[in-house]
Amino acid sequence: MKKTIVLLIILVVFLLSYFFLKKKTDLLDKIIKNQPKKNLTLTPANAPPPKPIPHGKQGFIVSLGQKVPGPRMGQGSIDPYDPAPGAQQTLTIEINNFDKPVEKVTAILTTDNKVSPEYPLKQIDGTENSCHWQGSWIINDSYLYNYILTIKATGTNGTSKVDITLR
Amino acid sequence: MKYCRFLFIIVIFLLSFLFVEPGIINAVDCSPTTNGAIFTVSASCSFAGTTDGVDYGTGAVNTAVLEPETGATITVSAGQTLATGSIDLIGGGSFVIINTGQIKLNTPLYITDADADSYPANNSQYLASGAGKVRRSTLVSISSLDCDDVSASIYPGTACGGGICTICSTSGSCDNQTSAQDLFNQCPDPGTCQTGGNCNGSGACTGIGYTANGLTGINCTALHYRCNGAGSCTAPIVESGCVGAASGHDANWKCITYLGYDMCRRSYGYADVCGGGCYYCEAAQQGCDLPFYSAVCANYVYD
Repeated sequence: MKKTIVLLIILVVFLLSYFFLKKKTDLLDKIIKNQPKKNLTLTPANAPPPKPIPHGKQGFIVSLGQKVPGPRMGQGSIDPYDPAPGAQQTLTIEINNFDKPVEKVTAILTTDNKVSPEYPLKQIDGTENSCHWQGSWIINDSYLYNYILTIKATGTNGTSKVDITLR
Repeated sequence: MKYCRFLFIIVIFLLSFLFVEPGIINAVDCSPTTNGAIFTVSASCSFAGTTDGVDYGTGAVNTAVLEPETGATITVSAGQTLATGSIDLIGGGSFVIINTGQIKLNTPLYITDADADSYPANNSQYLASGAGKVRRSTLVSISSLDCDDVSASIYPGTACGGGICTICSTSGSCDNQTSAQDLFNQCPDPGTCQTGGNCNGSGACTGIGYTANGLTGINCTALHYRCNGAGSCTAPIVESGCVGAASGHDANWKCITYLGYDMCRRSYGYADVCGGGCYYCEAAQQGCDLPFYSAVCANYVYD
């Protein structure tokens, strides 16, 4: 019994410390976010110039190989292709799974220093097996050299995936 | 005891949550693996050039087949033209074309190689032939650029710019040679290399070197040995002359280095520094030997 109490005290102290520190960190983040933003981009001295990318809303077409499982992807758009730091970006994509329902569509954005969480997209029109899906997120990293959009569509027949090299 | 396990699991879980981050995949330029006309891409990528792709065949026919492997996506960037013979979408790979990008089938690729030495002048690729352009498929490498697209005998790995210690780099520039072995091979008279070094193994031009093996590199460190131009070194010449017997060296004779060579002079500075000629130092820096390089001696003026 005594051991149990000691262990529980240790656990509680640990968790309290963790949440206390997390709260402080969140507060610090909030303060930093409210500071005027400076456009600082750290680029290695010998880095090659970044590849040019288009501006604004851009469409794209996906052609999946015959053996790629899962729902088929069609036309899509990225708006904007070149968001400013802290700006929102929206992905819209056409998904068709013929006679099978599409269960979920997600997107992951890889930039210079970060891999985003798996953003869920929402169905915005059509039927359960042929429709457009859309999702938005905030870009909070540079994308001078690494800019890859991964789209996954899951149906009862598997998951299809493409990695779009945006830059 | 079971509570310890419970606590341990919780701590590990929390630590994992705090410290583990997902790995970042890097954007890469497509670099297909070639097997005859089949060009396979194993990882998601986009081609680097505004006009790019894969090329195989002769004349105006491109029979290359571009195939992304399972899980790989080839992205055609905005404004980019991807030339190929055909694409293979039978497997598990995919293509994505960004708006204003295009794929041109059965379209050959051309590149500038004016001296026809199979090394391109630059990375720019074209969809049409023209003066100084050749089919891309005829090149040894698209990534190794020619530093001299006028001379067919100068290409990456050869001497360039009229120098004996220079090398045409793969990035299209004519650089000073830095490889000890290449220096040795390229400098016809190792002691005379003035730029970039000689065969002393450190890139310096000393004209003095220790023995070497000539195959695995030169390591000239000991005094008074010289590369002989044939993969080994010449030992110091120690013989009679001004030095006399080893024990009887004239203390007034000193070794000096001039124009990269060891020579002797008398410390009290007569005009006939090398005793009327130019003498070669012996190993111990205590005396001199008979003239070694007469050409240097002729140039030598003692002040």
